[in-house]
Amino acid sequence: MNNDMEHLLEKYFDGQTSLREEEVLRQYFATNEIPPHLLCYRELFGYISSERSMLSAKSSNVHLNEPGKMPTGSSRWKPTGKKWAPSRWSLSIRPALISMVAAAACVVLAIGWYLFSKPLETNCPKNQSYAMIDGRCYTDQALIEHFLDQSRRTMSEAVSADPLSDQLQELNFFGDEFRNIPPSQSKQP
Amino acid sequence: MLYKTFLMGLFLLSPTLLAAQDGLSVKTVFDLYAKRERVTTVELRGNMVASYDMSLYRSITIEENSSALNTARLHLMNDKNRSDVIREVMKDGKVTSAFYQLKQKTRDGQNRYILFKEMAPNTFAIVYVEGKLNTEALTKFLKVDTSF
Repeated sequence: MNNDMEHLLEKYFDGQTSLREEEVLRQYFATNEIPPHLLCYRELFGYISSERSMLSAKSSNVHLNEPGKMPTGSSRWKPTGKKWAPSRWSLSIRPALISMVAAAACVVLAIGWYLFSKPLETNCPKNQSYAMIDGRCYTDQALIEHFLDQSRRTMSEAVSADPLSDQLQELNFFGDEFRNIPPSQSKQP
Repeated sequence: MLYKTFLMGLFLLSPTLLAAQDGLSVKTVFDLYAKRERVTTVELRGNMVASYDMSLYRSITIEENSSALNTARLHLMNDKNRSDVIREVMKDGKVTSAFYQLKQKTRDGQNRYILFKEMAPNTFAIVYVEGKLNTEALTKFLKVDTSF
């Protein structure tokens, strides 16, 4: 018996027990015939059993559709004819309230998103020269000229790009051994 | 019913109409990315560019952003269809370097140019220029040795 329980305990802590086996364990630890080396688990199963009984007691107090009986602990239920039914508040106002709270939460989230995704200082002057770096605006002339020079250098390659020579270079058309030959030697006689 | 259809049509066409007013597709890239991280924008007006016969010089450099590069290429393609291609380099079917002059001038008859250069993988720059200067003058302006 004890060996069986030890085996079941192992399964329990591995999370492999069925509901039936867990019930067997709870019943076993509710008895007084527990060997000393398993006594440490008694409190655990005792706690689980007491929690389960409390939960079942609570749920038994709320039988929402029990005909003709007012659920305990609820003032939101009104008698309709011979039966008790949820009041108008819980049927219509409560969902509306939930919707309003949800909408408010959405608005708060949207504002938060807007504020946190908002770029840094971006108020660049209109009709005036400026440089914007990583979302920050600068109107210092030296800085603007520095970035203008960078931009010009980049674009000077674009305006002077020679597609044919680029392609020949990429294809390594003539091979490396011909690159250092002076023009006079490469001419045909 | 007819009124609703008209309104719906107007709503659907509004982006096209707005784009037509401006006539520059790559403007979207400036609008979308100018204020982001790893992006540098330079906008020059007035005295700083007047001596080069320019009224506007806008450049944007975007670093390591593949989606921005794809977006830019799409808009560049739109503008290319309305431009004279002055110079263009393509690699693997994609534009790596471009120099276009838009056929449509500004309202006061100024020339409009778009330049594009992919400097490194997913890093590129676009320049938009408005001014009375011609292609040669712009090339000269850009080719000035700025190293010192």
